Amino acid sequence: MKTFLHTGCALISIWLLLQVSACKKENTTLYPIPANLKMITSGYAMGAATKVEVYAANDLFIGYNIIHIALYDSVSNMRITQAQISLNALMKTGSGTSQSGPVENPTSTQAVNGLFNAAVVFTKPTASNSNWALSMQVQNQGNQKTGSFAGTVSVVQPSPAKAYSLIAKDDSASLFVCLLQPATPQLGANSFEVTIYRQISPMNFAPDSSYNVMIDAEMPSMSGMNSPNYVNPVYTGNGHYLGKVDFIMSGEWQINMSLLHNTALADSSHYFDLSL
Amino acid sequence: MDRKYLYLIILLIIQLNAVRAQQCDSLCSLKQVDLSDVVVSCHGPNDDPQVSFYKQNRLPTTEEILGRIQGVSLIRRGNYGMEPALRCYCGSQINSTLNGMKIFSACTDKMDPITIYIEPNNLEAVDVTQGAAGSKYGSTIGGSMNMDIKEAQCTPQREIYFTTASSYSSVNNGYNGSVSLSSSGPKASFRVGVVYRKAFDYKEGGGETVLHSGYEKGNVSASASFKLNANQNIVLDYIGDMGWNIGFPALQMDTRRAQANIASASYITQHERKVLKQTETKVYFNSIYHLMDNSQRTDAPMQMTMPGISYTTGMYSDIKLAGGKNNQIDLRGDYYANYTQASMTMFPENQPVNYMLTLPGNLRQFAGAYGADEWDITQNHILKFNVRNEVMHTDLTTDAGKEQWGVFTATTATTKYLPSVSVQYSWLGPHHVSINLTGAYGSSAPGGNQLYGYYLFTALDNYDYIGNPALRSEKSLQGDVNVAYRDKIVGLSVTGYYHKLYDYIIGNIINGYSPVTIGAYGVKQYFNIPEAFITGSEASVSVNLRQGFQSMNTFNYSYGSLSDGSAVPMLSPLRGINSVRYSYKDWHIQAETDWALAKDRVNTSVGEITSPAYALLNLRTGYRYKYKNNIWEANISVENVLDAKYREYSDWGTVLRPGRNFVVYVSYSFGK
Repeated sequence: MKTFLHTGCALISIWLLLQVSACKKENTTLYPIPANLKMITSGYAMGAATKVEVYAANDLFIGYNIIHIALYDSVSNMRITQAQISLNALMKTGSGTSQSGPVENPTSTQAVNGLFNAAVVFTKPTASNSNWALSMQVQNQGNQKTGSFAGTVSVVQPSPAKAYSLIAKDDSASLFVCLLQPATPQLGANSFEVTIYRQISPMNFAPDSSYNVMIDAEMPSMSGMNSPNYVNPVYTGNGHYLGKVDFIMSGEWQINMSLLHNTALADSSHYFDLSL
Repeated sequence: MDRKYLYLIILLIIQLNAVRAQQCDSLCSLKQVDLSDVVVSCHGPNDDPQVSFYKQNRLPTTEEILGRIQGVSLIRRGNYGMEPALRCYCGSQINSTLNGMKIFSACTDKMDPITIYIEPNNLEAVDVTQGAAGSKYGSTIGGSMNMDIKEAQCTPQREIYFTTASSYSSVNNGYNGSVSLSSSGPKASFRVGVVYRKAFDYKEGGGETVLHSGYEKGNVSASASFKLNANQNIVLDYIGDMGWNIGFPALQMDTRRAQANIASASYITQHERKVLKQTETKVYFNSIYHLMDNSQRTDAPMQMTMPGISYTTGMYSDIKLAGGKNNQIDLRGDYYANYTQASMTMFPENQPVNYMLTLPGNLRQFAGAYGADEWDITQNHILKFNVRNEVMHTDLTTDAGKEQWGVFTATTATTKYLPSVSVQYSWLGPHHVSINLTGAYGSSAPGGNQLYGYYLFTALDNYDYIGNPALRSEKSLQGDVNVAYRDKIVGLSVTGYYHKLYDYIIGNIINGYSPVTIGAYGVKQYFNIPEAFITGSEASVSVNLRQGFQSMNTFNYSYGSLSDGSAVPMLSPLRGINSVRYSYKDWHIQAETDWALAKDRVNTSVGEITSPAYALLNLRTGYRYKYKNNIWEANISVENVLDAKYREYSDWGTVLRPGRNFVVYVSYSFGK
């Protein structure tokens, strides 16, 4: 009987070990990092026993950047799929001044495919005397510990530009406008999405819902041929405006932007260049 | 080596052989001589005297032959590659077939009509049926025009025929050369033909050169026939056609290169003593490539190229039955699928290229069944009716095309049912009088450009056109009356017709769209309009005196309105051709006037402009010398003797037609 019990316990222990091992293996292989993502920065969120890896599809650029955050238990290296993340993007210059960039924290504490998706808006490029620091507060909901991570990231000026800043004609507000969609323009119908942030102070950008956005897509090389059937972007929340633009021909397109406060023109001197 | 030089070398070799052949004495008489073998038949009115008269002229292109057929007009955008029209129907409203085969343009500007693929030296016959009654080759509201090519035919004895012809036109410094050789026997026969053409820019009336009007092309045709037994034959046909630098002065672009490969295989059975008289089953394939660009237009705002392809695969089976002594029954089943695609690449300076699918890849499939019965009720009363039902299904086939069309609609697939029916009653009265009454209902599916065209520029009205996959098929209810008198000397024929059209397709301006073409006025889209009508008359008078005098006179006029009261496009003003010929032995001399009244009632919304009245004088003479089995022939023509400045109602833009033109034609034929 004793032998039988010992044998049973040993089998159960082996089964449990196998399950743990399988769990660990499953946890690390179930959510592989997509091949199209590249690591931007990594480090540890001290105090949360959490390793942080930040990914993006491209090098970070001036404008609206979607980032993907992978969290790991710093001991077991198991993927953490439940966490509260609070982001901050801060640029420090050699002269000691600081400026933040708008951020969009993950909308859920539950990772999607093992990743926490967020967005960061960078307003200036990295320079010899200025650096962007991407920091985040991580609350590991597995161990209920909270810690901080900070990493230096490099931000480049994309070509063509995907964001611009302006001083509104009507109220002299300092605005920062970013192009989100189309990220990869294609022939036919494309969603057109921008964000507008109002700079309250150097450390505070707020989403602005007060504008009427009008667009006009044209091909400068075709004597200003316009895109048909476009839909002017309308506010959808959190500084986002969503519309539609159609491209009937591949080549260089220019999306002319007009921002209005009701009927008062705030700006119509900027545009986005798109190539398809 | 450039292929055009290959054509030249082949032509020169065969021409040298022709010179050698002239030195030989052969004994057999010729049975086959170039254009004189072209049989042109027009269903409905009995116009045989008219056809017989004009087929004796040595006309250098198939287009010029077609232009002599009553009710046929040519939409002219250049000096070559004219689009045929029946009355005022064109494009998808009519059936244009070659040996019963469907062939579709690869060019979205219609620079490559089917008529350019067949040369006079391999044109056997043209079968024209006006109106919806011409549904044998496909559902139609405008009629059908089938061009039969000369095929190899087995003969009881071994026979060889050789023909070569050359012509020169002064107005465009143009040279045409052709050779054809056929060999036939009881079991097998073969026929090959080669044509080469080269013409420079022509001079309009008054002597001004019309830039971008020259052309160059080569054509090869081959046919083989094999007799399996007394009742069964297999016939293989091939046509290869190449064109280079074909100018279109009325358009913004020219053909840089065009290539066609047309092949078919037929299985034919003959059963003379049975109810089943004859069957023919044909499978065919043709591929058309067309490249147009504006590289020769120095005033173009931007360089651009527009390549296009068209692939058609099809088959049909014809069955002829004898239903008793007085009935002839003709049955036909057919299917074909056509894939077309065209694109445009623009090259702005110092910028990336712009690219657009001007006709996204689309597949149109047609399947139809046709039946006709000609019932000789008595010797004087004949009733003929035919019925056809056809279904078309079409859709875009490429993701890129669907994405591009997603700007306008996500629904691009469409299916059309295309019924046609016609009844013709003929009364053969006393004193050589006959009356023909025809009533018909027909329908035509929209064409590829009308369905899926994407910012296709139309130079006629200077608008970019967008297709409309939601178009309905065009329908027509038609009545034709023909009264004819014909004896050995005089032939009179008068035809009147009235066609009511429903869901007529036309382009309307759409606001809020900017054109792709730099300088275009705007954008139009094809829509159906509820109703339209056309009416008109065609008449011919022929006189054939025993003393060698012949006269042929044809007249036609058409009138019509859209539902808003504006003119139907392509209406003909009163137009006529009057010819008189005197023949003495192997000589003949002919004087001809080709005239039209002014056309002042035009549809300006589609870009038509008025055309002034004109009258041309053409003089022709010819001599034919026959010695044993050799025939030499020479013809000299002076066309537009008075060097008139003129353009016809169907011409695009303000480009004038050729001025005074001296044409010399010589041919040699040999056979035994």
